[in-house]
Amino acid sequence: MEKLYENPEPVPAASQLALLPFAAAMEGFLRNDSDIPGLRLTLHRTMSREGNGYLQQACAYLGGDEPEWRGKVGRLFPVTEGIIGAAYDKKRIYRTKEYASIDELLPDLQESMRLTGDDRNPEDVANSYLAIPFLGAHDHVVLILFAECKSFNFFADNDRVKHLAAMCQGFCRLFDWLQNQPVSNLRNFPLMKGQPIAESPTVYPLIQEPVDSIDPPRFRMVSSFNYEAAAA
Amino acid sequence: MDHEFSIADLKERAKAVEATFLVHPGLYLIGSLERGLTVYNQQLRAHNLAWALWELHKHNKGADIRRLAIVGGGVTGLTIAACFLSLFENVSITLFEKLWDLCPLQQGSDNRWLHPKIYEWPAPGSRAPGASLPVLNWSEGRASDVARTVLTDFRKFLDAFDGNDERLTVLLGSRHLQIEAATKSIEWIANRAVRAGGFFHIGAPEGNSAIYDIVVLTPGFGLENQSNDYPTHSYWRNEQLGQPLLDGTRHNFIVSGFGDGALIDLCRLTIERYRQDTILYELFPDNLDEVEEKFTVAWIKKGPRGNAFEFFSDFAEPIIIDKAKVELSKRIRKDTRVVLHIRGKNREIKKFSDIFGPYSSFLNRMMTFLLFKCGAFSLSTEELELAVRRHGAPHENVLCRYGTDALGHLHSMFSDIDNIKDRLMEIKACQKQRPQRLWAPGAFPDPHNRKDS
Repeated sequence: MEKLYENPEPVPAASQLALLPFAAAMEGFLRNDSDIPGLRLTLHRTMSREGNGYLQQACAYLGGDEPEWRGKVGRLFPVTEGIIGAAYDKKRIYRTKEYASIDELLPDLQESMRLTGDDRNPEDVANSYLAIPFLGAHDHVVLILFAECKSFNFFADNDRVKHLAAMCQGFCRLFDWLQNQPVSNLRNFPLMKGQPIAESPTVYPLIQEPVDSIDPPRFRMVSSFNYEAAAA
Repeated sequence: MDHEFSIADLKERAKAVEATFLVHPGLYLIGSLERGLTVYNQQLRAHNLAWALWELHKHNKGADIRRLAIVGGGVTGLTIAACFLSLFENVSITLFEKLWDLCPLQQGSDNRWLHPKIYEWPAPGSRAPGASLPVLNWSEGRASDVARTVLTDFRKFLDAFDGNDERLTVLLGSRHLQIEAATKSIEWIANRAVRAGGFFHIGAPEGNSAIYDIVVLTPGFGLENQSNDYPTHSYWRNEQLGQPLLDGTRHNFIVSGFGDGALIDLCRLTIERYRQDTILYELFPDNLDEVEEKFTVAWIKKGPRGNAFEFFSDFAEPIIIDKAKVELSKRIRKDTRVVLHIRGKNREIKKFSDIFGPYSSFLNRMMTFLLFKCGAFSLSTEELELAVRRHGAPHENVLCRYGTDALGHLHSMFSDIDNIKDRLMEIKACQKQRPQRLWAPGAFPDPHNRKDS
């Protein structure tokens, strides 16, 4: 199938602004006092377009010297895209599983890339990945946090993932409250549920795993994420 | 997406989309003859046509589309120009505009509110203020704000995709423009404009003609039909109808017509502090989401050509209508007396409920229904002259909102109208140019995201 999703489509500025400080706080938490090589994270939202459902990168990547947004924010993906697709499908947190050594990880990473048709140089890609789905009241996915880095076994640390999930749950609580008590002139305009556009899953099959011991964060009120500045 | 366009094979979908715009080989019309003509819908159509042509011609990088003419320098014309500049690397575009600047109707129009999707209300998502368009995106605002946003973004497209000003020629102030459909030739007298950042200087006048590979007509709204006896300022011009009168008296007004333009002016003349952007939140302060959902479900059952008067009269939960009426009744203007004159061009309006057919948006019909329930205006179906005399409205307070004569305007452009007039009638009858996102997601390069930027 032809690659359809090369260019971004707009994400409202207010939605980006609602997500960026949260992503920045998570990045700060992950960095703590040490440099994490290759760390970058972003959030995707589920969105529909003429009845079709996609994942859309909803804010810039954070982690580098400055936010990486050009050509990234607004990209649309099928719901089967990489580790975020796996988190979308299973509605569970997904991450790179724990390996005894990097030498054991690399062959599995290479083979996973081969199986999913990823022709990048394995040395250029991250070796630790994380995807945290934010579920809505009806058990559907609203947002997905994506993070990656080249720090071995970085997201295999349960405590780290628990902390991140707790931060995400705090984010959910805030936006549930804002749903009923919106800030003036900023509203979450609902996005309709679309028929998911799926292709062959591209999650690296040998190295990624669902995290069953940590529940994903959950909104009670928010069913989609589409904050826009409005006159009323 | 409508079933007829939900074709997975992109080339086949593009063919189906392209056919809806095709007037004659190489000659395309965007909107104009479609119902529910809005700025946003026209932009969707412009995206659809540009994408369809790109999809059909990308195999040879659009080598057979070298010379494109766009007739009309409004938002639609600029949108398709920007779409083509970003998609077709080798195309040269000539843009013809009758007036002396681009987006001339909306520029400086501070009275009129533009919202991308409110025409579709109560459809889900219709209140969202952003157009979310990949090309020339904007959000709700005064028409003047929207024009500014579109023109600013257009400049970004020019900077990114025509940095040397070699691909776009703008001809302003065209006082003669004649198209021959059979040859796709255009003859004109106009002034060649020179771009200066986001603005255009006027150069020397010229008379010329050229043959194009493709001609796209984007006459858009055009200017309104005028009553000979009661000339009315264009809908887009600034006036003071929405402001309280300062002389302490009550003035009589007659609004003649029953399309969106007329009904919006009716609201402005009868409702205190009326703002199109806030009225829904004010009428349904506690339950707007719920009201929308209930209206949507019930309205779908009624069908697209349903009569909204019957709909609101028979609505299963009259308390919703009653509450809105109570809210509205608190704010009927005290300084105006308004007559809604609804005779119709061919005297087709016999009773008030006849105007609640598909001549205007659901929202404007709802507002008119509620105002009627509030007794906020009088009605007249007699000759306009009689109505004016009977109600004592001064000449300047007679507002004739009769829409535009799009077909007549199109006919006047062609030297060989016989070649296309049947097809124009067919386009008008079919209403196939769906205002939906039919292009493949991610098709349009963003000037902010050029790989070489």
